[in-house]
Amino acid sequence: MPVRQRTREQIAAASVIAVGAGLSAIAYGYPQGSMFRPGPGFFPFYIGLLLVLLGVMVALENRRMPMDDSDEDQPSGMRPVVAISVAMVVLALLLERLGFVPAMVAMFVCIGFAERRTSWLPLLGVCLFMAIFGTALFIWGLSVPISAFGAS
Amino acid sequence: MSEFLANIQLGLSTALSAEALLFCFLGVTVGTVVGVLPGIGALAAISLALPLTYYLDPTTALIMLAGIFYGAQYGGSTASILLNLPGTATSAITCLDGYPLAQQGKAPLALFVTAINSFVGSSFAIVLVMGFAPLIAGFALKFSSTEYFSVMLLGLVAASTLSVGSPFKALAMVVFGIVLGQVGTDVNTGMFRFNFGILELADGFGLVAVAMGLFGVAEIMANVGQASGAPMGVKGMRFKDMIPSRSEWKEIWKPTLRGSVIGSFVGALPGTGPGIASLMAYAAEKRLSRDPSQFGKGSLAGLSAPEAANNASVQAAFIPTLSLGIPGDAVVAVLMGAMILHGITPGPNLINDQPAMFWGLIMSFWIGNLMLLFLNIPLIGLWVRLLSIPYRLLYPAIILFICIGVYSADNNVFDIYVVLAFGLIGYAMRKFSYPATPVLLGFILGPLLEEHFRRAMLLSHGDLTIFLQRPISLVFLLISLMFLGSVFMPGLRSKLVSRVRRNAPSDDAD
Repeated sequence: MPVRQRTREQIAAASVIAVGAGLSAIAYGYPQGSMFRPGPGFFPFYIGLLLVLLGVMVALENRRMPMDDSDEDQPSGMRPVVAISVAMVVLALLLERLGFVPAMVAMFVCIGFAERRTSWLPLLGVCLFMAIFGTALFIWGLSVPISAFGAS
Repeated sequence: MSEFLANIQLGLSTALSAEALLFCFLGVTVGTVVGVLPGIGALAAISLALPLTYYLDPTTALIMLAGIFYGAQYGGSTASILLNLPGTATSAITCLDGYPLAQQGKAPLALFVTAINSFVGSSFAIVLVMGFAPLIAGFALKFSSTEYFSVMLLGLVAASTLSVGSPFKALAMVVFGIVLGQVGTDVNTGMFRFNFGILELADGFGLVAVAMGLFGVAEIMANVGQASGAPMGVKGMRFKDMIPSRSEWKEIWKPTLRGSVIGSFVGALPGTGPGIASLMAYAAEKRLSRDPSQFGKGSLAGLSAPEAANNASVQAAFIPTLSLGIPGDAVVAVLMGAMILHGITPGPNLINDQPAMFWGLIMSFWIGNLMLLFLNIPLIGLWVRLLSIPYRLLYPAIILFICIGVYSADNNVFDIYVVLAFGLIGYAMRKFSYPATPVLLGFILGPLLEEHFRRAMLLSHGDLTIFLQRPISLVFLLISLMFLGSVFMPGLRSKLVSRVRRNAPSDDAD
């Protein structure tokens, strides 16, 4: 569904405001201390308020900005984002369970889906190279405590 | 004077040790490579190299990390000239006149000129660092928490109001960075804050994870699937084609010097990086030019001034970092984080307490820049060939490096999720043109800002006006106010920015 640019910009500004408000709300629950001896909640409370204020300024500025009200510029923009995110999660899940090489191979497979047309053969080449080079560099060279194959 | 010479001698003896030379060479080489390759900036490279330096002596580690930083500035122009890749604000400006030169078949000349510009700009700024850093540090020795709070505030305000794009977004991002810095343990009371019951967050977000997410992963997500340019024909790069003629030398030397001055000045301000330096140098050069219509069509002046300026600013950024402990831009901020991880607190005491480190680092700048001159003129063909590696084969390897890099910092898978989360945040920020550099500055300076604020309150018995009573602090606050005021009075600033905004998508580091 196409969302207008101005609306999307305002959603971004609203998230800034939300982060600030959330911070202040949580900080309010922490000891505030006094001006003489500010507590752990003092500084973040005001920082949160400041962020809310700046979010409002951005939103006001957005209203004045000339914007192109056509729909989404890149409809397929989310594909690489999703593929890369999945790839990183897969790597994180498998790294300590199956070892470096199986985890990175799984990651490369996921990354292969980031683009519509992937040339798998060159990607396989890079994967193979990184399996050997990565094992040599990380595990042998820098003694990162993971195994090439198998749980660590 | 004899003391100065003794310091130089001390620095040289540190920087010329076999270990320092080796790691300096390693640093500038890695810097050149990551500068040339589109998609990995100096920031990513330094963050990744950071865990590797834990085993090194801190001085050697810094020499190498700094080498990556200024080395990348040399390499960056290569991609801009040959590929017209405006990835960052700095390279966007090099593209303006560098790429037209390459189209006219003058790529070798352009590459040679930028290497010379870079060297001159750096050298000029290093001299300033040698002169000014100790001076400012001596002055700053009298600073109490009150002054520190104000000067840090000034740095953050300057960084956000002087950037390209909406100042409100930049200011909001500085504060967002401070917010991120709040996560973890409160230093004064030991209380956990904002960790949502997650044990891994007790120490807060890792610097490397935040930096890698916002800059590394976010950039890859934004770049994948976009058409990349093919490198210009660069076969048979002959040395003869590289040397400028007498009239061309005449055309470049003045802009180079002017660029060096502007870059050093901008770089020395806390909070302003190479992006704004090259922008200002380009604008100044265009205004001074007798024939401004040549700009954007392959003008050597338009190429030289910003190149000299961005290298000068990178070196000059060490003035506030080493003398006050206030980083000039995101990359120096990560360098400062590296120093803290190595147990060194950057600040006015550094120069007195660790003269071997300070002067060794400065002397290594000279050595590193000489190495870079060699790497970038006779060996340029090698780097150009690197450009023919397609991005789609490069980025999977970069992601793997990032993941294992952050994992190795703490041997915890949790950090991979943190990188991913910040990658997604950074991607969204990019889409809506919220700059990432201020986030990192706020993240690093935020905890220091809070600590100095609380200490100042303790000293003044809770009197907020202490910040106005102390003259130095008052001056810093007034300058900050001036910067903030400039946001509401868009005069020269908007004129300057609107001209380049089209070409510079973001004002990010490196």
